[in-house]
Amino acid sequence: MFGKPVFLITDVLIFALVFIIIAFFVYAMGKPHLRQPWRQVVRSKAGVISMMVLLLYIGIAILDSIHFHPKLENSKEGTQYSGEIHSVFDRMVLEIKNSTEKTYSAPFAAYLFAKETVQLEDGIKQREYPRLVWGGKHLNDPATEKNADIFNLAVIGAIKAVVVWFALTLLLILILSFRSKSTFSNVVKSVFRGESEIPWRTASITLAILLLIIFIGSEWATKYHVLGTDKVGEDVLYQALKSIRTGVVIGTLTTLLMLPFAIVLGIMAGYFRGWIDDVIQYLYTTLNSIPGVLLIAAAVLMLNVYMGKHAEEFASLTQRADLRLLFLCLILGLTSWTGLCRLLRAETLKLREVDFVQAASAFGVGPTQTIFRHILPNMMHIVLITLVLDFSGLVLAEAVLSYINIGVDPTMNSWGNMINSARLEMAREPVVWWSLAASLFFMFTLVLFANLFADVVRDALDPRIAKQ
Amino acid sequence: MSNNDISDRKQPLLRVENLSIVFETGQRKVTAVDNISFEIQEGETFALVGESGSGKSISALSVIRLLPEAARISSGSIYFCNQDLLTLPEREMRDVRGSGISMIFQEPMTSLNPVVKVGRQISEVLIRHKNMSKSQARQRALDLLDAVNIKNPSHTIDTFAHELSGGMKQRVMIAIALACEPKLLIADEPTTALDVTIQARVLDLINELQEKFKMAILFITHDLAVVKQVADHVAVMKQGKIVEQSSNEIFFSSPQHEYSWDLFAALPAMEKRGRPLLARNGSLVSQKSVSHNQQDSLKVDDLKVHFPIKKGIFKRTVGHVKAVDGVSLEIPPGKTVALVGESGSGKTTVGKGILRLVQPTSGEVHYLGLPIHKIDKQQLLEQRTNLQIVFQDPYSSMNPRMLVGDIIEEGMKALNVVSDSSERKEKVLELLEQVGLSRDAHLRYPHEFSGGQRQRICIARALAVNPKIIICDEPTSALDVSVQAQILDLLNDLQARFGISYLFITHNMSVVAYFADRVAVMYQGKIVEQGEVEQVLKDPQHEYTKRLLAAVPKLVPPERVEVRAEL
Repeated sequence: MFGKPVFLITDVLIFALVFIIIAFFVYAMGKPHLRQPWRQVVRSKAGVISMMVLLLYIGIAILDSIHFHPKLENSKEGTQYSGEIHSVFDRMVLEIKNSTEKTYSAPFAAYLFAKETVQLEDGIKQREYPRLVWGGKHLNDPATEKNADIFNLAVIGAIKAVVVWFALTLLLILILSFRSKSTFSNVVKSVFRGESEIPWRTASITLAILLLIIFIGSEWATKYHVLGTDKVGEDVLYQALKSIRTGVVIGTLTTLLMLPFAIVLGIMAGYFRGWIDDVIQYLYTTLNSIPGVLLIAAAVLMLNVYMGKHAEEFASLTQRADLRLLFLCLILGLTSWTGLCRLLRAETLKLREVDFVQAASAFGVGPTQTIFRHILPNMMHIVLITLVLDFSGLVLAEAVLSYINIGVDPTMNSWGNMINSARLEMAREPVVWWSLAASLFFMFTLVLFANLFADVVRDALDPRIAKQ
Repeated sequence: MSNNDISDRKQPLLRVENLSIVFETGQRKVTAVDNISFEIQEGETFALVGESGSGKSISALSVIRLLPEAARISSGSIYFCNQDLLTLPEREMRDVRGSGISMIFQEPMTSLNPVVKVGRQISEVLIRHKNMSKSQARQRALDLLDAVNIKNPSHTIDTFAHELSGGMKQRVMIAIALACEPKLLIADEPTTALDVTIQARVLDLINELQEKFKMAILFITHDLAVVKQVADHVAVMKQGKIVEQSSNEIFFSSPQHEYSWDLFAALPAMEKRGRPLLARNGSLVSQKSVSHNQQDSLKVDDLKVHFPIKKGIFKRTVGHVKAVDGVSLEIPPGKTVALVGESGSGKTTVGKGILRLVQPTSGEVHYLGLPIHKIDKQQLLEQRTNLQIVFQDPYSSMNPRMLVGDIIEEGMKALNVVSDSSERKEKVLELLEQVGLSRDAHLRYPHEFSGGQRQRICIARALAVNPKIIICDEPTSALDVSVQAQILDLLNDLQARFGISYLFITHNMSVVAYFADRVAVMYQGKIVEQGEVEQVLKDPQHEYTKRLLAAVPKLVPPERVEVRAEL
């Protein structure tokens, strides 16, 4: 459609993860004991709100993970493809992506942030703030027109948002009334009085807020740099949005990569005990006593050396950055599996003495079957809770690691890199605050809602809480 | 009811009037206690009897206002010394708790703080309520420990809870409860978690202390024999209502309510041998004459199971825990052998050792001419169809993530008893019917069933592989009496139909008297006495057996002659 598709390694892993999650939900729908806790998640207000916000983030990350080489438009014979790699999301925000300025400009500014020597028409050279190439270029006199224009754009955005919200809510109510086989007005009543089992009213209000932010934001973004531009004139909003994928990839893939280690080793240690348990325990206590940052720094430096020596193996900068991202996930995973492994070992030790496992061995059921049928399913709640709880911690870890230059590739957009470059901007006079503010806001929202979601999931899945 | 003999007495110590308690979870309201009234006079013992979930504990907790958060008192009033407890401010209520009313709980293991020394836990109450100084409180704590018959109070006062045995802990709990000489002691199943011999001693102690301190006791229990022994007045609770209330003598000679009769009927006893507990007028189907020869017996010879104690980094074995230390048994075909003993006597380990769920240290197990203790894996797998086990706790013995049908099928599949899958499914349905459950149960999860139903599923699972011997490890001790009766009836019925032998591990002597053919008494890893049930129970030889039997509270169920004639 747009060009030749490219599959980066992290793309493949992300789609594998999405597939696993969908497969799990389809499987869980058929099993009452698995469906029950997730119903509880959907019934809680905090659960619904955080799920919607997280879905928005994940949606952007997924759109940003479909990569391709764009078609070159002015090619003559056949179709030719550019060497660059774009994503579907890039294509959607192409206008902002290409709207580079010369250097810093403040949010909603029409002028550059730094003075330049400009030659006027009459040949006189003068130092002044030049107009921006793209931001607010449709205005004749920014000083008088800008505020009114911003307001008008907001109104247009709000109207679009309300129309879309109304359509979606109507659709929802129609589906609900069709499924519950009650009249339209009854469903409207139960939804808007907040009496429905799933808090649809909360969902609808959240939807309204999200739509307002999206539509007003995108109206503004077509005319202005909503969050300003950075040192080389790139739009900060675009950077912050692109960073979502980096954050989500690190938050999810790291756990996914460490899970096999933690599960296999944890269960083996707990189930077989004896020397196997000893070896595994020594392994993770040793690993745990090496400072994590040191291990990560060493691994990343090693990778840098390798990539420097084999530069020809990487077709593009994007691929190179992607490999580094994957490597970071791997090494973060390698240092963080020990906690979960310990939990699972303890749980296995407990489960293997439980009567139903004893009953299975009285039937001569072998260890493999016992583990897969009796032990693993009974500790999936621990795995899920850890997965969700770790997510926000890993997003924050990326920011810290990038800040000390051992995180993701400097060419890759990430909140950590934005914060890292903001270090110098904060020292300027007047201060350039928008890069830092933008990355903090986006990261804060993701982590906050991920934590809220983790709380709800833990309440639903933890048997000790669920029993009460 | 016997209201007339209460009315001319003096003002009662505790008066509960029309008390109702509801549990509110989300939108659902469940009435846990439904309009109950009772009175307790000074110095008397009032027993609340009922099965689990009948609301007896909740009623008691409401008296000291320690209800769980979800519970709410919807109506009624509670007067203690003519003071309305439900309208009392929390600050004054705190003074009532401890010095006016105090409570002992069922589980002595979790009721004591494990990181605070016993002495401080007792003196804490005294300092709080009686304004004693530390040294005064300590002196009084020593007196109290002496009063609850702890042998060496000056040593015990400086120990932590884990250093004490179950009976000692319960004594310490009683000492704490008595510290401020309360007028009313609430005892919530104080002896349920204890062994019979210890139960007898604790009950004696409570009795003795009641006379000494002149206090009233609200005694909550499910055990009618204990009630008979301690109570002056009895109230029977069922589904939140008090269905019958009368004095001890009247209740145990001629109970009025149908439910009380049912409770008595469900009690196993020597006199009821050979007929089912629940079905009236019934008798057990006479056993098919299966020809057994001596070869078919399971013989256990000098079985020993020792667990090594390992210490240090190199895990050197420094000693052994002799869980089972030389046990010899014989289980004849079609018979029930009971293995009786207190907790920690090693009876469960014997069961697991026979099945080789625990590897025996030494000794021999022979069955059908095979040495079970040393056959290889393949032969053992074949023998697993003959030897099965049913566990004590019906809640942990089934995988909560599997369907009941899959649970029952698992053994058949693993041991390849029925290889065809549709035949296997048919057998599962058949088994469910045999144990008295509906056929559609196979598509449900274990948590949807009650304790008794779960135990039926466990029995069905064991039956699935057509075993000749089932080891029943306390299969009824987690169940109510009426459910216990159902399970015992079921086991009896299955034995009559299929000629299965049971090794019935239990601590309940009345179950042994009703159910077993032979009995072996176990004490500290050894069998001290074994023989025919009648002989052992009526004429015990060993010192320990005598002690054990003496400790069991006696209860002869009232004969229901004229009432049955009416029916």
